[in-house]
Amino acid sequence: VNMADIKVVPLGAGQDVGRSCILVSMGGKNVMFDCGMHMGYNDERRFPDFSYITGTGQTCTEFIDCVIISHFHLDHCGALPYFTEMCGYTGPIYMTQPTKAICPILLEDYRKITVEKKGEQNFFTSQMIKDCMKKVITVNLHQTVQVDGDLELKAYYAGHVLGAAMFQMRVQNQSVVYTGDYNMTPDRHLGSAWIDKCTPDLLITESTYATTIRDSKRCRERDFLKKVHECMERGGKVLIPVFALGRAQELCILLESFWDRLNLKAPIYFTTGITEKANHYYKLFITWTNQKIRSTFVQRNMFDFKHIKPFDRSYTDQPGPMVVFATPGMLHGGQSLQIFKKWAEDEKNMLIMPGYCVAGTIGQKILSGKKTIEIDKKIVNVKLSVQYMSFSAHADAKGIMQLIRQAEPRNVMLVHGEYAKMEFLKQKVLQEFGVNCFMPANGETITIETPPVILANMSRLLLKRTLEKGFVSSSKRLCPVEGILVLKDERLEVVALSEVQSEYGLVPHQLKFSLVMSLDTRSIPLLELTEKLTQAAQKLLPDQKVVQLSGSTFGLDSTSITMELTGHESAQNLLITWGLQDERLGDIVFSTLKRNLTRLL
Amino acid sequence: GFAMEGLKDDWLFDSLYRYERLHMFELPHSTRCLEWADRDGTSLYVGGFSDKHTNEIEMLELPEALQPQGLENVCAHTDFKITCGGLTKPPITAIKCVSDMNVVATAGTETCVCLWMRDPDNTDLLTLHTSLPLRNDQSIASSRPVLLDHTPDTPSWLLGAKTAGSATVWDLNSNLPISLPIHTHGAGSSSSADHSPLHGIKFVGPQLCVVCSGKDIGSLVLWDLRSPTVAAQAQVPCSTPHRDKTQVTTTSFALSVDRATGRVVVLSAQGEVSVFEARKLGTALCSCTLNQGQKQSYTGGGRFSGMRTTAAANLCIEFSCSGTKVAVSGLTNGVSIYDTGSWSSSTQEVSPMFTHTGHEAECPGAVVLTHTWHPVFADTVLSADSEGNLHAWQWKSQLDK
Repeated sequence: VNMADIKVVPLGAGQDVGRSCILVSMGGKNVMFDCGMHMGYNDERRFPDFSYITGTGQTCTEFIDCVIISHFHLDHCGALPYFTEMCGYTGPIYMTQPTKAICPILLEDYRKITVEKKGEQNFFTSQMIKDCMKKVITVNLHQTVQVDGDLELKAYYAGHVLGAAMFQMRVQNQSVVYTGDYNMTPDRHLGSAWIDKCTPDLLITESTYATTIRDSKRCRERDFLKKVHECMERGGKVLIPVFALGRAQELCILLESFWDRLNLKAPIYFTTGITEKANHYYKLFITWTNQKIRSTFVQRNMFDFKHIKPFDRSYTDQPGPMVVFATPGMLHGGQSLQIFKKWAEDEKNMLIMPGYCVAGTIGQKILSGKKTIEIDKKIVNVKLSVQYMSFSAHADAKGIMQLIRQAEPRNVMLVHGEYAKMEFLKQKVLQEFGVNCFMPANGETITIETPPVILANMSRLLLKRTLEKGFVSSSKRLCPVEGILVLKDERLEVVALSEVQSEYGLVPHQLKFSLVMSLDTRSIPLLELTEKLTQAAQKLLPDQKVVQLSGSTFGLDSTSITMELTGHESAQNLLITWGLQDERLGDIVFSTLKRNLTRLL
Repeated sequence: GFAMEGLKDDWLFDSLYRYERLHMFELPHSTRCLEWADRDGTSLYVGGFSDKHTNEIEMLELPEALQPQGLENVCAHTDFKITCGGLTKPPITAIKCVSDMNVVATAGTETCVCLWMRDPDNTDLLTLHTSLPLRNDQSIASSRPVLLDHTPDTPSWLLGAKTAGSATVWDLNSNLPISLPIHTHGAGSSSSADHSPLHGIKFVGPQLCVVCSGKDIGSLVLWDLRSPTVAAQAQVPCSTPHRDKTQVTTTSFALSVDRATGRVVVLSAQGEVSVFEARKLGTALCSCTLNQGQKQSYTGGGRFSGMRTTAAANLCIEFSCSGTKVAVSGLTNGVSIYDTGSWSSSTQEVSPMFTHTGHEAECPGAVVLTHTWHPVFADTVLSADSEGNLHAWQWKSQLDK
């Protein structure tokens, strides 16, 4: 293992988007970023391929130094209970507080669908989820956390969903930033991702939308309002199943504003359950929302709506238009499904699915166009208008460039993209930032070389001398030093020449160079020639002070370079000498004189 | 703060009544060009025009929701896809797609036209293939942009011009300029008209071009490329140009041709529109003033550094693909639609049947740089502004405002 390299392996078979799990090896440490589940599969393909780890002969706990979870979406944390309770990982797990609070809710919800609705056997239990979360350590934004003696991490705000973070991992002088999902444009309730100029060796970013330009948030909001409005105008009822925390919140804020502006009277409801919890969590994690929400919260409680009220089951049969936000999100049970059963057969009504639906759920069936659904052993005809809106906020082509600009990484890696060629993006990144872009196929290992850093102490004497010399360097990180590198007792030290002499009894030798240039100086008397030569030399070397040392010898002040006229009247030679310390300058002096002297004389 | 958000929301809510469709995107960079890559309106080209950093030319595939098959699809996505792109140093102010030859041409203010092709190995990369120099390039003022045109009548021809005198037609089969009789006429000699600012040059028929040039007054000339003499000419009626402290005191025009009706429409920076019979020119069929809102003010900043431009440089008028409507941008901060079908020789002043104010509403200070009609959908326009926003919109046709 080359300690200077960073190795990255996306775990899992296939090229699917939707199961994030990236293994990064650096400085002898192995870090797992995210542990997601693929919700499209019913077998072991839903989990990342951990055989890579077990194949090393070590257990998960021995091999992995820590696990980081970026946010609560199941394709980033869904396999965590499996990894801890069924694969036996007992090492540290890090995530932000909101993530820790919300993950178990989604995991439990999904567990219920998988086991109770679909009747699966080999799945983690409720108790396993609880046990798994007990092992989690929470982190705050911008707080450096020591995982062990060498490994440390720091979380940055990612936007996207409540509690989502980007993580920087550092081992000595190597560092990697993993972005998870992030969003570079702020929305109604979350801010945008931000990172400082931490110059990681590698920036790993999701590239799902790297070659897309998404329509603006406001445009999608408008679309949503348009649909709701159209339905209400014809006296219909709108059902919006909500699942992911935050989405309901945002849509509520939007509708509230719309109702206010247009002075609308129709009722808006949200069912008890997750939505209430969502409000609860937002209040709890108010610091994770955007500035606007926070400042409004001071004036009035943003989560108590004027127009939006809690739903009661009896309202389902009330006549007239209304909007209802109901859980769960994929119509896989609970209140949203009950309401759907009652409203599905009226074509005035509308169903708006605000996101991805897992295969096998009723939500997914409806989205794929099924007109009849069996619910609780009864056939339901789907006559209402079915709409789909995707509100998830991801970074697109522009967003990725913005993040790279902020972080200034040395290398970029795009994972989970669509691998239609992304050569153009690669070129853009190279052109604009001068950094390479890697795009590993799933299962492919990418190795990033990082410049090895050698630590050496500097002797006090050398430091003093270097500072005295007054080296003015424009770079804060690089400062040239001239000294001798000594390896003694497995320690490196940079010392001054005189120290080497005295400590090791080494006799310094002086190296002197001399070159002879023949001059065509017939008929020029020696004295005049000397003067002319001095003048010519001074003219050619305006930065140096040419002084006469003796008779026909002159030199460059403050250097060991001397010039002397030798030979006789008709065939003068110019002897130029210099010591090793002025090697470069001497070379320049010689070639300059050689090129121009005869012309000037 | 909150008030601003409220105002923006007002426009958004209002738009629910005024538009049939509305999509808004933020491009990676602002563009002066929206050039269709095909006749179905599936993809289009955009290009950056910064003089500070490297520019991109990109082919963007329209979202499913803006394609014919996506209209009924509930799950149709609403993302543009960057199909391919290329990097270039100089700013791009004109793009012309020559699909029969599988090339796309770009031009800026240099005296040459660049031809791009898809890289055979990396199909998402556009690479610079050749550079075609303009005729008489020594005598041309440097800051004028090169105009490009192409006609399906002669599929391998590409026209480029910086001034009337430098107009060059290349045969893209050989990438060599074609020697045409028109070049021996005043159009190619050093008469004063040659070096006057060129405002528009467009094909109106096989080997027929209409050229609009002029410094203080606009002159329209019809070239028959097969003949050494000018086939027809006309003067563009327009009032004295305003003298704005910050702008150069020349007037400016924009041109659009409707091949179906054989008409040419000329827009002046003072907000006057004239319609001519393309093959006859002579006297304008009608000439009227556009009733518009406040004048455009471009402070030349914004998120993207572009070439320093005057408002006049953003003048854009386009005939719709079918029918008699024209879209106008560059005078106010929005895009206005007029129906020329109701105009006659006695029409003096006209009001727009619809104005898209979305660019200013969503992004105060943004100024519309260019627009184009969708080739297939009726009443659908795409417009791009100085802040990099691209709007695709279709207004509700029963509206009269």
